[in-house]
Amino acid sequence: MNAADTETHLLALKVMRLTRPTLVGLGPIVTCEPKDLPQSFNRLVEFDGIARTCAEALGAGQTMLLPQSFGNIYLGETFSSYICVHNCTSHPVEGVSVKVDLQSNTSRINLLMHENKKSSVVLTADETLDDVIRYEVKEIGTHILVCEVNYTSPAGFAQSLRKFFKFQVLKPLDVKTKFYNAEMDEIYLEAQIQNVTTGPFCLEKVELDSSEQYTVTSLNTLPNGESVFTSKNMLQPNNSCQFLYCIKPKPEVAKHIKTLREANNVGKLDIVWRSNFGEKGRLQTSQLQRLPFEYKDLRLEVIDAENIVKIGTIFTFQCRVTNTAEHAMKLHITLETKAFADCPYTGSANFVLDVLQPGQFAEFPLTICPSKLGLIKVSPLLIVDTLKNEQFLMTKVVEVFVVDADYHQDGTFLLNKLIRYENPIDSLMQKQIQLQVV
Amino acid sequence: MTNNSNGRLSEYFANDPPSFFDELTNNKSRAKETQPANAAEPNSSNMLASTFTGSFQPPEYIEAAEADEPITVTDEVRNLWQLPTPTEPGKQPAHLITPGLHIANDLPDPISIAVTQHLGQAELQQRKILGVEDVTQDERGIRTLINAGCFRAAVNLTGRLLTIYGQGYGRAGQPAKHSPHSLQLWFTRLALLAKLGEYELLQAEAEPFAQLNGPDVFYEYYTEMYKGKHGSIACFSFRLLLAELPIYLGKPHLALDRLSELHVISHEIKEHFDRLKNAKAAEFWQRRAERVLQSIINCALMMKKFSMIDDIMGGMLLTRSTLSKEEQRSLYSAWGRIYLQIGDIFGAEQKFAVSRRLREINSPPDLRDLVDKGLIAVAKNDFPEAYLIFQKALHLDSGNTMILNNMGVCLLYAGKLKDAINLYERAINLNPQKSLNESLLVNLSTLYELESNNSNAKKLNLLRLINRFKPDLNISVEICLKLQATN
Repeated sequence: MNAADTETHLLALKVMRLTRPTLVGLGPIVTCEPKDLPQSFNRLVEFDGIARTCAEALGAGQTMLLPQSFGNIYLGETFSSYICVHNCTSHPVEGVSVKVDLQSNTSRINLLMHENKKSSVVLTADETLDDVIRYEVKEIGTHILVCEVNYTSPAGFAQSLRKFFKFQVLKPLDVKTKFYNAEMDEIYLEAQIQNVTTGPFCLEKVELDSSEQYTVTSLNTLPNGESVFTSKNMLQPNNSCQFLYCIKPKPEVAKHIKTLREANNVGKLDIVWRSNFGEKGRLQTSQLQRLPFEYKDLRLEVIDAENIVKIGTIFTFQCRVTNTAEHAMKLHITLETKAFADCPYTGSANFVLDVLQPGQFAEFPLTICPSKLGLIKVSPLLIVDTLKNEQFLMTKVVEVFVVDADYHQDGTFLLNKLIRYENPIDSLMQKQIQLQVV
Repeated sequence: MTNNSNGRLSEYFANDPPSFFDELTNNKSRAKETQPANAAEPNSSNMLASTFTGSFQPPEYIEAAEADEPITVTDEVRNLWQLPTPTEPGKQPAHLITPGLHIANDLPDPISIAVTQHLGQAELQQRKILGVEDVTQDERGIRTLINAGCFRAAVNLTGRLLTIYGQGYGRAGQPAKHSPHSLQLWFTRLALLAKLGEYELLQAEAEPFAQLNGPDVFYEYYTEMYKGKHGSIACFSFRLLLAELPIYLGKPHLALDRLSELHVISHEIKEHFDRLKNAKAAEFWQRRAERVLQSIINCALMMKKFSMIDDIMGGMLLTRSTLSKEEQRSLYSAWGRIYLQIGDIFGAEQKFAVSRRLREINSPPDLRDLVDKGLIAVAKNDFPEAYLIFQKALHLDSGNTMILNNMGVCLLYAGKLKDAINLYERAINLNPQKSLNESLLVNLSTLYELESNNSNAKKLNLLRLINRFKPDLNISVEICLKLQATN
């Protein structure tokens, strides 16, 4: 729209994006002591504002300033804009109507002004037709705000005036998730949220809304209800914050191994943040997929094991193996101590179980003797079905924390049931998540 | 909020006691109802400069015989500062401070220049601002000018007095003798330049002073003249100003270093007096150290180091028990506003609540409470509610420009452009000298631009008023009125 074009119209169309106002102070803060020559710089200024006492030197102002630039807009935020049509002539203009559309790469949405008002109006001289339009942006990329004013010229001809405003909707945050299949059908989810905007923001809400098959416990608050994060969930640009959730299948789902196997959707992350002076944004992830229980025909559970053992003592854990296949199995179980160099424990096992019919399970203890301190992993356990000559290599059987002989701890936590599935994928794989507006 | 967009301004006032704003809204709504086809009289008619007969009135200035300090201490305590040690023993340190003015004449008045450019020479006759000639050519004159807000004139007076001291234009680099008075003049001049936003000149003229570590700004240097006197001739405020200087020049990191050093020294002196069991002197220096902390917070704000602000605020507020309640309240309130700026509404509410609880129980909310509450409503995007709260605040302090300014902003976001313009024009009508402040001018000019293609005429009208009523603005008048902007 160029200037010459504007002049030929009877109406002027003005558009201003309403980003949040900014808080400003009263300009440069200079103070002095009463014994200094000026005695005080504030005589005139202090009429306004509030008795400024000792905070007179702080730059956090109380005065709101209207936005002076278009600013950035991010996915999940609300685009709001002031639209004003002004009759710049000295006589009334009839049949005035305004149509505002927001066009993205894939859609064109009509935004209503004066929702209850009807069609066209008459604008008297110097009168304006104005309102605020709002729209929550649902797409990243180029958007064009198309404003069209229609009116009737004095001669009775239909006239049209259009203005276009192009802007980019940017991505506000990056969400990365890590799933971890733990004991007792529990799944842990680490969600890492990174601020990829140019300013700081606060995460007001980060919740995992579970799907029908699962329940979720957020592990981001202390027993007293406070957040585990210091003071506030403020994120500077490029910084990340990690949230942890424990996800459990509902009992009725966990009961049936097949249902559990099919229940891949654990839920969605719902994220609400606020930036500059309360500007709010909200996004949801797509359904997060748990790691598949990539077991074939065999399920190995550790049903009884200590969490902590002292070095040099024997560590015995109870295993249960279930035949989840459609055919009978005769299992040969091998735990090799010299499976790899630097094995942090000694002890081996080599035995054959009785034939297991489909759905049947067998229990057996395994014993090792830890030889290194720290968290050690008992692995691998080789199970061979001698009937079909099929091999199952269990890469992670159980983990135990090995402590020195003089270690004391009041065993407050004891997990009595541990499960491992044969799993070809590293369960700690990190995944980038797509975001969408709700 | 959209539900309210068709409501009238008067709805907001429904339950409030009468004030001059009722008049405004009633007129407004009546105008809308009765003459929709013939509102040919522009709303801005109440803003014509010709309707103003007044001009700038300097506030009465009463010279205080002795400025009262909150804590009275001896000069010895006030001036205590470590004498810089010579680089080589037995020799004088080479760096003596040799300042001089960097402009030959008085500071130009950008308002006059803008008026000449946009309105013509004749209009300048309306500018009757207190000038350097209208006051006594001494400290008292400087104070009178500062009190009237005539900062440029005050700078010019310091220039004249410094020229008498032989530190005028072109004297930079020439040997100079310093006295408490000459250094106070320099401090006043540089502080005013900072207030005026004249950073280029400020930087040039402040440069010779560095961090006031030359031996010639200490009494010990002038053994003949100040027999037996010790300590810094340059005042503490001067040191603070020079340490803060890089903030204005966009180098907050550098300012942070200097201010930290200043804080450490102030704290050491405080502890020195603690050891001497001089409680008054210790308290005096404690307050200075706290003043430095506030500047450090300003640096941190600029650098967006919010955790640092938390640390200092928390430490300062919690460790200091001698702060008055009102002082604590204003700190908590400022802290809450910092939280609001980064979107932490919950955090802000907590700080504001602390500020509220520091007041007497059951007392009605005061101005600070209401402004805090209004800003929370803004952060929650509830502009009609914020408007109501600010309006209540206005009843406590009618004509408060900050509150009027904020009310206008709320009106715009609630879809009431014309009401916002009316409110601002009304405020200017009632008290032009006070209402024509930088933020309100920027906001009103922004509204004019949004309203129509005729904004330029209306802005020039504002310029006429500024010409009559404003001695100085701390940002350029072109920026204030957005005069460069193409419509």
